[in-house]
Amino acid sequence: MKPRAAEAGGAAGRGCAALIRLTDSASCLVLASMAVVVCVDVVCRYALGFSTQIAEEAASLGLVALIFLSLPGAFRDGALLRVDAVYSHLASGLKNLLDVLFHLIALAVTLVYIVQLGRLAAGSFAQGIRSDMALGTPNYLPQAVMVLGLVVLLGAIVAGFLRTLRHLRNSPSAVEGAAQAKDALAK
Amino acid sequence: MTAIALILLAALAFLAAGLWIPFVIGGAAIAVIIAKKGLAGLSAVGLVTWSSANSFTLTAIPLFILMAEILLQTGLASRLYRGLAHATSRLPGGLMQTNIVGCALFSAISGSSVATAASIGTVALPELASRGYPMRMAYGSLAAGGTLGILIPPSIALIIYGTFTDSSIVRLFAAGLIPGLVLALMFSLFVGLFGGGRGRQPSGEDEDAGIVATTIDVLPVMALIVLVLCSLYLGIATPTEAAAVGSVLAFILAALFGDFSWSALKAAFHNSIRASAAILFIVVAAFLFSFALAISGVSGALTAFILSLGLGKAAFLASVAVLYLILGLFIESIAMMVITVPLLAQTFSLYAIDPIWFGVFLVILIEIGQITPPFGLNLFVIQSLNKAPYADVVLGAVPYYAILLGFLVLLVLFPSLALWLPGLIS
Repeated sequence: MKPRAAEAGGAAGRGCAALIRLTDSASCLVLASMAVVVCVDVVCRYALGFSTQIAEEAASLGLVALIFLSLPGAFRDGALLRVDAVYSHLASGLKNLLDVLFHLIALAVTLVYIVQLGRLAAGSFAQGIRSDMALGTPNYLPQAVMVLGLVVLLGAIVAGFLRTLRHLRNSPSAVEGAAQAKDALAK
Repeated sequence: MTAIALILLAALAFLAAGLWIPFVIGGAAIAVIIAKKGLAGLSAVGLVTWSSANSFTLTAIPLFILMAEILLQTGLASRLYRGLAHATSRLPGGLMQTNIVGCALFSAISGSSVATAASIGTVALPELASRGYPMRMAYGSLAAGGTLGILIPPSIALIIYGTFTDSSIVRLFAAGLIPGLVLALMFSLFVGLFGGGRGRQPSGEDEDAGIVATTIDVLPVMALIVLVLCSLYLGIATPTEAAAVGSVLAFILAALFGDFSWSALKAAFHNSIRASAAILFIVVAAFLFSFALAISGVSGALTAFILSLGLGKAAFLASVAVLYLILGLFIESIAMMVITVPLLAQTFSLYAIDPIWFGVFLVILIEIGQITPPFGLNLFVIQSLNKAPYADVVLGAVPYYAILLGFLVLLVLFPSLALWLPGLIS
């Protein structure tokens, strides 16, 4: 973890790495809780003759948290899927240039998600919207967790972007990459 | 419509260039929404994303992944292979049969082709090499055996397909079982006929000493598989419940019979959340993409276009098969599914296609894509496990490619292969 943080750039990188550690731990905890809550409900239903009534709601909300809290770590560790058939064969200079563009697109998409989910959470809070299931969870809580995960993802993308910029600046093939990109565009 | 077409073309270009798939799909969806409804339309992004992520059906995915990871990290998957190796050692093809049976059984735990190929391949390849098996054949059996992972239930691909087409996951799982077993049998017959004998027995190992050891190695995982599948098919549990109970039982089995440790458990959870995030972020983005296509009128236009071609059902299915075989050359299976299924689902009623049957048809096409060069994912998995020459892996997989295509024809001619078992489920 430390070398990655250092590479990503000082205190901000270390902060981001610490946040990712936290969101990862929370995701693991959520996953374990989902398994236990659903399992307990099955046992109660078949062995004790009653249902806890909360399994479906708890598991669904757990899934929301799991997806968004585990995203930053997945992004940092390169676990997000991509078609790298062309990408992996590019020269490092061109790859770095593409990486800059990819990070910018990822930043823009994530920002739209954050703004829109933030607005949704604020709206749910203002209108007091709750789940219509047994727990009656206020919707803004899981929606805020989605925003939280996306904000940490944004941090991970920024750290990756800065790292890519540094590679681009230090890479002797940066000029060569720019020339390759120009050639590719001309073709 | 021109702006929408340009956006979709740009998305394809970014996909091919290597932009992360969920950002390609999400970015395209956002651009289409802005093009069609302006910035005000973006308010749908929050609502669609929230409602697609808040899904009880999809909760089965991380739980099935966790179950498989626990078995894998605590060595129970390796013991399953070892046990099967004893059990199948007398069959023609020897350990090649173990690859197929091992993959079929691990498919009933993992739900993923790559996980199946990687898990069985890791244990199998050193054994196969040390016993002098023809390695090209071995690579092929593992790459192809791995594809069973998304057909034999539980299947992550079928859960995602069911979510997009609003089909019963249990019926989809039931539909995948017989085709999965028949395919495993066809693979097994092939390695029996052409697998190159039984290999050498390593010195010091007694072939007959293994009956008790085999039982101890195989029984815990077999019991887990039977329990999970029976609970699903007998209507005792939903897929999510079966996955949750399976995870907890896997944990208990690992503590009793596996190499249970804190680090193994940590790795299982870590790998599970990584894989879940990678798959489910694509699914969430794809729901937004599907919404964007619907409001842009692309879905309706495509349906009208297909209708105007006047294709018969057979010609339509052949066109779909060709489309997926081509897409399978370049695009990862889950992405291929979530991009195309929302569009194709509109055409089911036009051709009276049963969505359950089509789910199996589609998954077999995706299986073929996973062993299709140049970019079949399972080929890379097997290559990377043994640093094998890529050409050997590809050539080894060629016969299985033909078997899968042959089975696809069988499925079209005899739809009851997929539809008989779901018909028994009330």
